[in-house]
Amino acid sequence: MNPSSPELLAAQAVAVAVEGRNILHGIDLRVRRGEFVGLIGPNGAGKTTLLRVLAGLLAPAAGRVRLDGAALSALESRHLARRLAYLAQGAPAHWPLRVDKVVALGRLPHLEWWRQPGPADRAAIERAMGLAEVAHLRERVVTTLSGGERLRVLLARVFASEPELILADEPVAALDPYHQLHVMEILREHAHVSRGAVLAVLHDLNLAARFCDRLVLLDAGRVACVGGVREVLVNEQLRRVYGVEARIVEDGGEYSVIPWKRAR
Amino acid sequence: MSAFVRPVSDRALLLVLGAALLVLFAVSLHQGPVALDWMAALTRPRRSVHGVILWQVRMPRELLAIAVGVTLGLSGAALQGLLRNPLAGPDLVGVTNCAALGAVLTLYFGLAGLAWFALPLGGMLGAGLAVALVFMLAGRQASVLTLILAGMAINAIVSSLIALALNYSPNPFAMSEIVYWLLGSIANRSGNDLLAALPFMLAGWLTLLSCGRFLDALSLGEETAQSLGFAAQRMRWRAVVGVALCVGAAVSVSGNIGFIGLVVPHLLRPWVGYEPRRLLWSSALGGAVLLLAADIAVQWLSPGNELKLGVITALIGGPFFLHLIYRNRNALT
Repeated sequence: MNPSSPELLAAQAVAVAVEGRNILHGIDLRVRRGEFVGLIGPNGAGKTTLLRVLAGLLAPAAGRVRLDGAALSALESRHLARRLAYLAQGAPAHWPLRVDKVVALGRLPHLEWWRQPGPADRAAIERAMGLAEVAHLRERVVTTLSGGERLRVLLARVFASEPELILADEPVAALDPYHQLHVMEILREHAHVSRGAVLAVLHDLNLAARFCDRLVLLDAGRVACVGGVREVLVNEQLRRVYGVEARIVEDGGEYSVIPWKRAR
Repeated sequence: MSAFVRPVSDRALLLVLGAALLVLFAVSLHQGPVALDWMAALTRPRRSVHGVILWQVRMPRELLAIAVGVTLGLSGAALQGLLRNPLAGPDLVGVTNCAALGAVLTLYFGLAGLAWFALPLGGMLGAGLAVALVFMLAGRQASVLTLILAGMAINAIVSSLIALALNYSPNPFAMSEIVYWLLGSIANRSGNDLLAALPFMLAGWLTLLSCGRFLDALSLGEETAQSLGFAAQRMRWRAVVGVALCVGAAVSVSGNIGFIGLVVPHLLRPWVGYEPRRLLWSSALGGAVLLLAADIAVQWLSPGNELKLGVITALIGGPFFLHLIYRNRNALT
């Protein structure tokens, strides 16, 4: 770790065009160590595309992304994979693999081609299963798990890589409230306790308000607003970007947003 | 069936498959129209009839059975892992047939005699073309249906081109030779046939085995695999080249031996806990075991060598494929 550079991830003027259509225009975004940042915005705002660019899965048409000061495109892909983990949307599993084997896939960035997993790898896998609370599921088959269990297994896979930065695409979509809270707690812990950083695409504004340190509001491929929860989740922004009126409730330091009716 | 199978350790699986391979290899060498005098064959390999039978007739044949079996099992497992689809296989997606076309054209235009590697090269070019076509037609996230349809289309085109070549074949002898070769057999192949194809098969095997961890990562989807540090594009091409190398070379010697690449990974998958990397090497061994067993069956059923190996594997594999479709019919649409 390099304490002199608190900025773990920095995107500068990132633009993406797909088939001639501009999806992202001049995006600036920063994620610091110890920070849980929420990436919010309406459907089609370009959240997933931005996340893919930040994860190094998609090369931007313009602009640059730096991880800890080094250009993402200059980093060797396995080296990058050790520092940055990406949790895909929907997170499919194509074969009925055992849970501990799925988690073990997170060690692949650490394994040179000639090396078999050793004690350090097994310890990391155990730690990861403990963090995501899936150790009791280790012998289950991943395709038979419930949505909440499967997502935690895939989170454990992310933790097994021992990344500094986690980029998660809608990690709590399709989970019930209990599991939503659980996953958000795990992600916050990674940022606050383990001093890593998390950038997550979120649709639930209340969860975003409750767990994130900062929010980035995306609208039609541009950053509409960046800042703390109380700066971003205000009626003026919500009306402009989402087209909704919301009831905003402040209750003893807790801030919640209830989308109430359509504004247009 | 998978619900009743518990995954076993690498060592146990290696032991069982290795032992089966050794036993079947010994049986296949022993079996034949002539009762082999092992003493004579081993002590005077060149100067006794038995020595010649063992070293120049049976040994190349059974080694070829093993090499072709390894190729088909391994490439089946690799294609299924790559396309994340248990119904993929070198023959169903048209790779085997296309390799056969490549070899037929090499024979047809008389190019086979130009160089020792001409025939395997023809096969490899055909196989490479087929895999590339399947990728273009079915795309990366191929559904079962698109994949099978793409394979069907390729197989139909290739079959018609082979028929065209037969149609214009210079004489009935050349025609019947090609037809017999297409049926798929490893009988009467010489040590030289084996040696011409073996280097390419070896290269293909190593290439495919080196994709194991990528295929593991791919079970969580292409993006996740890429985020785990694999250059997905490059690794996919590596697997395609591996399949083309070994299937092309194998088919150029043995003709079209179907369904091994579909059946073997399918049977072994539950035993390796569905892990694509472990499935690679175990399917390689399993393919060799199954092909040796099939070759022994062929010789036992028709001692005069009338029944072709490819015919018997298709007779067993066809119904097996139907069974798979029946079992997966709800997942197909």
